[in-house]
Amino acid sequence: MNTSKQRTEEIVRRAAAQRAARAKNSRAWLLAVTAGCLLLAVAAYLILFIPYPSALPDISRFSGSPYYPLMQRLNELTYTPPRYQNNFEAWFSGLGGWLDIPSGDGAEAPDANAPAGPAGGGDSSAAGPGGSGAEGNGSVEVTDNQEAGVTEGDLFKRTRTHLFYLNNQSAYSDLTVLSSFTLAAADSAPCGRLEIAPEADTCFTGAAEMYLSEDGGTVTVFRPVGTKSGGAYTAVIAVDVSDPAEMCETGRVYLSGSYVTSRVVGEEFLLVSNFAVRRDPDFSDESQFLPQFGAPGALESLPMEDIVWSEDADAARYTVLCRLGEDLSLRGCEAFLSFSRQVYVSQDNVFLTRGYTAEVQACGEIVSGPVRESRTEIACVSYGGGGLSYRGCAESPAPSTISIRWTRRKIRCASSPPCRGARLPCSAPPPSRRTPPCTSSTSTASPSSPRWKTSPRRGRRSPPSALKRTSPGCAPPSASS
Amino acid sequence: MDRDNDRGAALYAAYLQGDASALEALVQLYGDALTRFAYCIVRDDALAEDVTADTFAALILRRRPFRAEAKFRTYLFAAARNRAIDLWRRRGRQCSLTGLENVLVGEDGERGLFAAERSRILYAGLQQLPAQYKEALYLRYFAGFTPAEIGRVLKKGAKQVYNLLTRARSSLKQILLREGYVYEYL
Repeated sequence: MNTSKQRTEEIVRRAAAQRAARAKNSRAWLLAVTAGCLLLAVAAYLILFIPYPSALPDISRFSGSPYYPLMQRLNELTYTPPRYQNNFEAWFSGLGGWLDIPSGDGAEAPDANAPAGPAGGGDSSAAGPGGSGAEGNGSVEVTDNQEAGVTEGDLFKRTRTHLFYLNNQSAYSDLTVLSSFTLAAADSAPCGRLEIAPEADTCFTGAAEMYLSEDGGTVTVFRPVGTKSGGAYTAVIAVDVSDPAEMCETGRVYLSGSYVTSRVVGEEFLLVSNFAVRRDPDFSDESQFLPQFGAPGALESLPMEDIVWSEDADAARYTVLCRLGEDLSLRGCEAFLSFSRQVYVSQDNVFLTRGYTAEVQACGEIVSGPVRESRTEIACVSYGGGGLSYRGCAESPAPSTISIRWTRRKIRCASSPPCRGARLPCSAPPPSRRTPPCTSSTSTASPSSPRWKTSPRRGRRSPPSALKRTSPGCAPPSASS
Repeated sequence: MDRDNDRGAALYAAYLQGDASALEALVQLYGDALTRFAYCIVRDDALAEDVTADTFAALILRRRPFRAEAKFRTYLFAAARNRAIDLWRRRGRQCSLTGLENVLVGEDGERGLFAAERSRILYAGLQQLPAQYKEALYLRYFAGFTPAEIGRVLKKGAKQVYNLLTRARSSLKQILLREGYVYEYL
């Protein structure tokens, strides 16, 4: 057995060893805690502050498509950057207002359903070729309230013996009912009824209009259509009403875009729709970014040469103008990117407008240097000679144009608000796209003015690689338009 | 025993103040008793010495004075018991008694023998009892603990300690009778 002294020495030695072990463990523990805290901090930083991806989606895999330049522009217009830059902003931006983190500007979603725009102006000097007269059993009443001779759609059409009524009420949102009545004074009575149903997975939306052919045998209905996926189309439905008691549908076609307006041109139709490209479209699906036309289940995209667009287009929507035969065949189609929904239909021309801003050199006493000026671009499409023919475009130094009149080979535009500020002409000649300064609220462009410009690559015969864009130096429309 | 307790607490307080010789005095005061107590559990003299050394080492590292109402001796034996149990479990719970004679001799060699042969006989007979009986009897009759102090060391209530002591005495009596010792030793 050890002595007390030996025991004491052993005890002291063991205490020292335990003390050293504790100190070592303490350091190790401290190191582990520090490393753990550091790891947590790094993880928290990565989770909270790693920025969300904000680059444009890569669409280079579509570079072989003839629509690729257009797709690139649409990609820029439709891309929606994330509202917040990182998780920290996303999770804590609403904390009591003490974290003043402004939210990012998200791209505005293009309107999926555009309201029907007004159609005004036009040449009042000539009578239109729309259905008129009381010959045969055709329409005896013509709806041409906006422009004489340019027939508009309506809910009622009448022959000498029958009345046709298109039921547009919301109660029939899944159906459109075409009713016929005999016209016999006190003996007038319902004659026939046709229920027009939407295709599967679609529904009718908005107001409808119809036209009655000159011979009174065909009613053509224009109806806005919505799909389950949020798409908007315009349905054109032909109905045989030669026997009002036994009406039947004979054909149906669809055009991309919400219905804007339509007109009758002889025995053919002008149809205008507004097709908005959805946010962040899937470019492998042409229906999401290209206007299409065709029978149900057989829609085809417009060719690139029929699309008018510009590098400075600022809205991902098309104003689509097409001409249909009585048999609903496509006689011509043009789509205008970033143009407004307002369409002005004259007897022979259709005018579309697009607002944009251009940089000009101001040389005034108060303001000098480069300034951005609001402009309106006016495109002209002629339909008088059959089919559709893009004639060119003109610039108006006005922020927005509310009416256009084509008179004596001149387009008169009334704008709102009127041009502001007096600008002295600059000593240096302006670039080709710039327009001379305007000094009044009504601007007049004549065929001989330098502001008319044509696109040298318009027309269906242009090579596939040509880009249909608005460019300076247009030739004026011909006198026949 | 209260004097020992007070002396132990005073020696520990002196050691905390820096008196290195107070530690040796503490070891001399409680060393053998702790070793014998630990032997009741670990059944090995070397392990019992380890328990004693570790117990005092922990006391040094503790470096906190005891409260006035706390018992220094109780703390010491309770700590020794916990270490002995841990050691016994780690070493495989051996059952054979090793080095009993070393434990009986103590640190002072022959001068450290139990004063009475009867104590040696009782301690040796104690080793044949179950662990809790051994602990209780040793603390009561060899270390001079009160039943309350025994309860604090063994973590039992007063009634349990009383029953434990009764059963332990009865068992020891049977063992001693079986080994031929007369009743007066008990």
